[in-house]
Amino acid sequence: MGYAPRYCLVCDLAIISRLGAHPDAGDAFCVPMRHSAAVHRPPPTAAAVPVARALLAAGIVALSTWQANLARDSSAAHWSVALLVLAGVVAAIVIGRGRQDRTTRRWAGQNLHFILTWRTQPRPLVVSAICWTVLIGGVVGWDLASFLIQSHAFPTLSYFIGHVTRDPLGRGLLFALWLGVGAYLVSARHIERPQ
Amino acid sequence: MMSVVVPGAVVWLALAATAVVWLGLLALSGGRLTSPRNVVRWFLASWLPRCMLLAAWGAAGWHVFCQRP
Repeated sequence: MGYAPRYCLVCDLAIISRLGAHPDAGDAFCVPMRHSAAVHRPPPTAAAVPVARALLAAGIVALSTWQANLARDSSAAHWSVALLVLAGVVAAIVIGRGRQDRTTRRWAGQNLHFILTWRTQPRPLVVSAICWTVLIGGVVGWDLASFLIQSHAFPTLSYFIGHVTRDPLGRGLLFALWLGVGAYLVSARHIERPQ
Repeated sequence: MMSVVVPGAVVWLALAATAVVWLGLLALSGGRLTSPRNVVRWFLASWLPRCMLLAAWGAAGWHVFCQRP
């Protein structure tokens, strides 16, 4: 009995199942995702990656140290954050090319297919999808609800974060975290497909 | 000084506890459940969700570092 091929939700490579076995929970992700060191080859520019990472880390430390002592309503804080967001968008456009391995239409179609066929999907993958949706939806939804209520009885997430950013050390550390997340969003995901 | 836990904070505590439990389960699952890294990589698989994440990142940075006390 043949089975329709299924594709890894993360890297879009075909899931390789054990011979003669139905793709099961262990095949939620493709073999390259689970054994990336064995299959994914380093890109040709791999030698430059450690240098780029060191420069990026130094830049993050320097910017965060400077940002730590700025007030939120200072023009320097406004300009620096605005320019960094702009730089992130430009960097995503410039170096993001080739890092998306499927079109948005195909991405949305695969997600829709997953939702419509959830009964036949691996159970761990379904449980993961439900838990992540509840958790992310809960945080975003409750934050939005608290914002709309506008009451001291319902603090928003940024209210708690504000307690951290009042302190220069907290502001600097959180700024470094924010920059690191931005750098990851811009540059992450470069999968070499096996030939 | 007496501190009062407001209703909204209780919900945040419940969400934080849920996140901790879920991350603990992920650590114990041996890779069978979807990790946070794979969730992010799933978002970064095409342009639209990547742009949405970048927009959220930019808005969060502006709000936290330019508006919040």
